[in-house]
Amino acid sequence: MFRLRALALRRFLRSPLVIVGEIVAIAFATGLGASLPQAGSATVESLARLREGGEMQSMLVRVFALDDLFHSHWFLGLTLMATASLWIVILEQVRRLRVGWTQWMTPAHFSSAPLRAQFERPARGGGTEPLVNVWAEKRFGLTGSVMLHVGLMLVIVGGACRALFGTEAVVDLVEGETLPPTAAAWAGQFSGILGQPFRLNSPVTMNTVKSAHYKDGDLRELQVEVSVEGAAGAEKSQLAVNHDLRVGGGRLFLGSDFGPAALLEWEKPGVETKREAALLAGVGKGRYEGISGGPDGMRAYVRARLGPEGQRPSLMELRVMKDGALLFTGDARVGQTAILPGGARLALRGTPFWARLRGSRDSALWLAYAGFTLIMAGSVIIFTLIKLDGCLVITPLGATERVFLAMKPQRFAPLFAERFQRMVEEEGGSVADIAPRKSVEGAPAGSAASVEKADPVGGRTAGASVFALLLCGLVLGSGCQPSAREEARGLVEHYNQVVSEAYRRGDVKLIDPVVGVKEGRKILGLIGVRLDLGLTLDSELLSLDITGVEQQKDEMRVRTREEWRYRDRKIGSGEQVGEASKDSYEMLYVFKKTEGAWLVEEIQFTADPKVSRKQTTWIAERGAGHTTANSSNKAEVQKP
Amino acid sequence: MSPFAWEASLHWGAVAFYIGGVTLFAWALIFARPDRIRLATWTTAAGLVPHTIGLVLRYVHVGHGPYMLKYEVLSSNAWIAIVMLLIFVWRKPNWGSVALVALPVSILMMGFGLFTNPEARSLPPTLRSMWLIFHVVFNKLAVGAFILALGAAVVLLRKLKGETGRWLDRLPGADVVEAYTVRFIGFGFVFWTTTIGAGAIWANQSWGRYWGWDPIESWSLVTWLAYAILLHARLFFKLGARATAWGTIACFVLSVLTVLIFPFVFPSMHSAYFQ
Repeated sequence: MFRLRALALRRFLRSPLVIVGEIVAIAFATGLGASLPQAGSATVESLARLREGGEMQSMLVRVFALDDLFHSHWFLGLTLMATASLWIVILEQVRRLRVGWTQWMTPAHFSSAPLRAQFERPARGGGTEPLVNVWAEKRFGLTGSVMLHVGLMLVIVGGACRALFGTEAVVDLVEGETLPPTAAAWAGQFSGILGQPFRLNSPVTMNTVKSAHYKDGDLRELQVEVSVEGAAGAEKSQLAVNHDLRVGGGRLFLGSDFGPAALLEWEKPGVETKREAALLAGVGKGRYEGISGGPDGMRAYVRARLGPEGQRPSLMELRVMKDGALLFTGDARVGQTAILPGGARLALRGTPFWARLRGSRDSALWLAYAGFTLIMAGSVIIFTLIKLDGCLVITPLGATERVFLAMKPQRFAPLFAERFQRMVEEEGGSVADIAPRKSVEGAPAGSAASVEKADPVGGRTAGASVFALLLCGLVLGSGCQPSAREEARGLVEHYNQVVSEAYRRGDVKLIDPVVGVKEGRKILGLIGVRLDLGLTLDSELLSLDITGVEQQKDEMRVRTREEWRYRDRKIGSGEQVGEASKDSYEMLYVFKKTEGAWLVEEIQFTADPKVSRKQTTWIAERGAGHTTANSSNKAEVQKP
Repeated sequence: MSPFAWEASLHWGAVAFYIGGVTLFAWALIFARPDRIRLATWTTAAGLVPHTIGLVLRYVHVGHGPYMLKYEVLSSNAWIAIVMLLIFVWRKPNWGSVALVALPVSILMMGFGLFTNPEARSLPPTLRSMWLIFHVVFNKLAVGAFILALGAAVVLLRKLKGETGRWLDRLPGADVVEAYTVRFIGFGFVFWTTTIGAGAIWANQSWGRYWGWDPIESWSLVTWLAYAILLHARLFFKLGARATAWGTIACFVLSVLTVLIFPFVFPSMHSAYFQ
């Protein structure tokens, strides 16, 4: 009974419909997973949009784990089923290969060969016995399909082993820092279900980090020298991007994440001194930025630029903030100290480089590599080495002899027709002697009708499946894109967030990624004037309504209604200067797409702004008589 | 003249030759002048001279191969497709009609690339790998083979529609055209497989893992599976020529979406290139 069931299951898994169905299902699932935001790689916002996009969508996401599709049970089940089918196919193909390889062909095998001819010719030899010549060419071509499928199996097994036992880890190290041989030393661990946390067998010290840069400051090369402790002492080794390092316990990799670190020392009376390495990350064109948290909610924003040859920065730009107030701004060299309110001090003690190391252990890697090799070799063999069986039988008939010539190519029979015709002519026959090639439906080949007839319904459905897959991909792809209004809201919110922060920190460089030249110049002037007066602007967006969006190719015009709260604060103490203001605006933002990014080119008021405070603090401090902000004097009212 | 002005002039020069070539192919086929096929082939081949110089100048100018910008990627893809087309038509002059599909597709690619932003971008350190060469070159070869398969599929559909004409009659029977279509797909499949394999080995060398379900990684697998579905459907269900031709066209569209469109749509590690 069990045997019968197993046989039935085997037949089911081997049936062509199931095999094609499995491939279609895997392709569809992969397309779906590639189109939807996936946990672990997508942003929190896009995942939230997917998970909370309506009742039906939320239910589908939950039931089918669409936000983590490649780790879902149904995808795993589908892969297992396909693997079972693949295993059965491999067994069958190996058996067929053994038979095909050793098969002793006789003329009887060629009675239905796609290429065959029979004709009589004047006798050429004097023999009385029939002459039989059966040959096989490129027999190795039979191995292609087996290799490809075995390779696929190896890749799947290798991948499964990696998913179960493999492990990855990541850690940021500063020059001179030693990584102990413990799992806890790594900042992040990503292990398979049965995998052990990643750890090295011996301590590794990062000695130096060297970088080379393009003229515009972008990173060109990155290299790290490490010392690996061994029985014979420390051994120095090099690690670079795309050049891993094998050490006891696994392999080490170096990505492009690196930069200068600011070794900061926070001091405050009554509070324990805090020493921290703020790791500055690249923001493009040779600029690096980072943050350090100090006592009492103070935060230091650090910025630096590397030397033209990638040398460590000689000075760093420091901004210390607390509760939205700018307490200190200035450049610091190593050894210098910033004096902060309340007796606090912030000292810069060093600027070493840091780099991110990744560790990986995958004992089944060789299986996957062997699989890749077999897949490639197999596919090459399938399409280039085509096994060809040939047969020539010459039967003496007295003064004449009958010639039977046939060829059975493993595939692409029509492509061998020319060669066959030449052979027939060499043997004394003519084109007329060649039996018409038959299509599966029996009509003569070479005519359109013959090929037309061989178009079964199954073929149409398979073609339709590909189209359906494509369409689904496109629909899903477009479905994942936010609507124009959502995109506009996102752009305006992001712009306001960045510019508000620039006003708050008195840091005009922050606005570079969001504004065009014209608007940038305006904001530069406004922040500069405030800094000259020792002020920063603390602003808060209270509400935002998108009232209209017009989009052309590279331009988007967004109309908004906004409510803001503003207050000016003194640099150093954070003390509020003048009265706070609650304003309402109706605005038009003109975004232009530049090098793939939407930048604000211009902002205009579309209605008179409503401003609650009577006098703009910074203008009042300058003592100008014409500076009273009111709704009729738009130039005086500027928003972040 | 700036380096880009030189490159653009050479590219437009090449486009002019290619347009001349496709016109001659059309003339030869429509007016049944097979003697003009050689001329058409030579004219197209002449376009490869400025095209190649343009690509070399680009390499000298930016210091890296055609991996980064639409302009570079599309131009080099077109170059590969045209070289493959010429090799094929040289060996099989009767197949000149494939050029009527493959050449316009290549010209469109070049034209589209020429209207995009040509500003040179630096090659990030991760892309400075020997595996990039294999990954990209085989991908271009795959696209070239798929373009030829597309051309053969279009010719096959016209034959199946019962259209006749002197140039269509010069081609072999539909079964032979179909066999060639599948053979081109086969070559494309081999190259695409190598592209994925090289990418996986490179990813393992750079990040310690050979597969990470990155959207473009996944779409390339979907494309590979789509071609696998087509090949298996032919094998199992004796898929007819018409379905094979339409399947070839659908798979070609999917491969173009994967290589040229999806990197813009889905956030991916591959989005760094082709911007």
